Amino acid sequence: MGIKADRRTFLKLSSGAGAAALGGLPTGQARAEGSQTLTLAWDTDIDSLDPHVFKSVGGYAVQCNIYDPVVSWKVRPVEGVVGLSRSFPNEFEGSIAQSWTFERDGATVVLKLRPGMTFPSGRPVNAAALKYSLDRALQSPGYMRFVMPRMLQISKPDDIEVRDDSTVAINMKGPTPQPMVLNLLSLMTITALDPELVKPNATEKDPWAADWAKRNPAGSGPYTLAANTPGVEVVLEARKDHWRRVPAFQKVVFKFVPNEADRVLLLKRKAVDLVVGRPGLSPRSIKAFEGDKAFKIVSVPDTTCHWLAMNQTKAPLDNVKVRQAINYAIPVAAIVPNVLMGYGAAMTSPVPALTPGHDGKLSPYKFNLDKARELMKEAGVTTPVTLDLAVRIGWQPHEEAAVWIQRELEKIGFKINITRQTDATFRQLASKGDLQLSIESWQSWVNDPFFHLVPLFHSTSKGTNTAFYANPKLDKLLDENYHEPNADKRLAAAQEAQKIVIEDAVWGMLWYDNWTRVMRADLVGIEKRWDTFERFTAMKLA
Amino acid sequence: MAFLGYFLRRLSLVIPTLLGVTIITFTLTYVLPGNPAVVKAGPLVSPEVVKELEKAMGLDQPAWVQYGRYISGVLHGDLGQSASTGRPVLEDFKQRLPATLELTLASLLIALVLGIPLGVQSAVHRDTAIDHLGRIVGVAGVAMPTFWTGLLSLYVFFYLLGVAPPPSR
Repeated sequence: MGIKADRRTFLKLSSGAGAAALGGLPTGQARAEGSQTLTLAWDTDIDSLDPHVFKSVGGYAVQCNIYDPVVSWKVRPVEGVVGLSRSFPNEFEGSIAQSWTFERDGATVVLKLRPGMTFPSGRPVNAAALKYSLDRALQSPGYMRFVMPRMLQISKPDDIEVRDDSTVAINMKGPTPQPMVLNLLSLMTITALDPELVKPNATEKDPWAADWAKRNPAGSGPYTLAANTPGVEVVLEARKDHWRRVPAFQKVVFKFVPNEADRVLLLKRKAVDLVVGRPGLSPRSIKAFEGDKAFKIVSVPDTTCHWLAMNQTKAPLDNVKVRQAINYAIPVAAIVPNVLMGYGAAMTSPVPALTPGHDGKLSPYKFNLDKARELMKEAGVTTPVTLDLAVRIGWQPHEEAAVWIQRELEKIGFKINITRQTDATFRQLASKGDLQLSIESWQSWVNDPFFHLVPLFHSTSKGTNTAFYANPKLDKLLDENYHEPNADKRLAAAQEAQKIVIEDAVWGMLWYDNWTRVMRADLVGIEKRWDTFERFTAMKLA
Repeated sequence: MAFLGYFLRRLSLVIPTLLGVTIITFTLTYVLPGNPAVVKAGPLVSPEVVKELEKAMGLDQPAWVQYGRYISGVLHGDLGQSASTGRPVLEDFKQRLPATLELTLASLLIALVLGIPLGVQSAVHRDTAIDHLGRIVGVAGVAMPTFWTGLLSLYVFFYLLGVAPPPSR
């Protein structure tokens, strides 16, 4: 007979009988819940469930399972990795929209909705529901109302046209590259909410029920939100009538475990099946599972970029020779195996290797201290140059990489002080231009070179252009080609843009992360899409 | 009567003390870098949008106005909304208080059940094995940071022995 080792029992026993009683408890109590329940550990709460506001990783991860996107990134099995499928550039499949066509030379996308699709309430996911949701995205207080006009070229409800009960047309301002449109429609932030659920919660001051939608789901996804207890757990329950399939895991439990060491212990003890989130587990923790047959490490290249941000408003980082010298002195070949433990790859261009238009042959930078010293001499700066290098507390690979970078930069005439800041402080200082050197990261959910390049390198992109780089030639190239419908012309422009950014050494190029998860060995049906968040519909035990 | 006077004197100090605490915590939060509007707006919006949001959140007001609004809320039982859970702070506070009390009382009980007898025995049997044990436990308990003791306890009782519950509620 076993005693259930829950917290109350433990406290009762430990406080009542003292520590000596512990020796009498049976071992091996901690186990994930059973074949129909998937238990995960993560380190985040849900700040909002409203699809149209910017939110925490936890908010997005849950949203990806309780809402359906309009279109979906198609996934295919990854060769050589058992149980993993991933999305490939510009491959899509139907979701709310079963099919689509383009009109007006690509300026209108016509969505034919999936017949018979319903919300958990039983009400249909029809053209009226999608129209209401897109109108809401354009007008409710979230960030989609700012993002959609720029990217999808729509700005007002009149741009969304209901043609019949199952057909919606989105009339954009002008032709837009079709893959770009489909990528944007695959985002979970452009989805359908059940209007009859949302509308009764609207008020005069809050016509889109933003306050209600923050904590209440209204989607048509394969799971419903059964419980959300901040600081404890989130529970999702599978729908039996979802159009895609009935998930093998009827229940998904996200356990809130803020400490990474605890997440490792839980997984090792098999109290959870999988660790998710960003970072979930750092490379050193992942390494600890290598060779253990009870666990599976799934790791595939991803589009997340990490770079040394060099603020060009701070001398001598305004000198291109200095920035080039830094690129020659970054020991990325040592950082990848020693810091990332191999779960990543050296950056070869600011456009990720998996993104269309990437050219990995443009960069001349290879670790070469002699060349770096020569460039420093040509730059004419007086050495030593004292600079601060900022990293975020808890970002383990960044903290470790900073030390490797510090050591090599000091060999070419710098004196580097590493400073550590909290996320909020770091972000605030970076956006105000108060940092000199810092380690940054970015992942573009839309796998498109211009979606990626504009926020990071356009002079008008305040807050994300961490170098405060301003080059009118590049701005013009990006502006002219962001919505260029000719694919070849657009890719050529993307290559030209990379050339400019690399020659100007805007970034100190570091690495691309792998998308890596550690899980119980018999878990299959893992799907990795461009936004990196798991969908649980296909997951099961082998 | 003397006790009542003492009690009232102490009670009268509670209000300025609490006021002092709110001023210090508010000032610290105010002067530290970190803009909630930047976090809430997301990375892809313009500085104008952030400014609009700052206005909507009242962050463009002078510090004393913001403090006044905060104190007025506190006095009415409104501690604001949590940025990480999106819920009223008071709601989060109520939810988490029982766990904190449970843990505090349980650890206090362990300390009393083990600590007092051990202390008494150490005093009675000076310079014996039990006295040395009491000293070691006492010094180690004070010297080791709680986060380290916590991790170590989890490793031993949860991971190695499997007798304690997992580290989540």
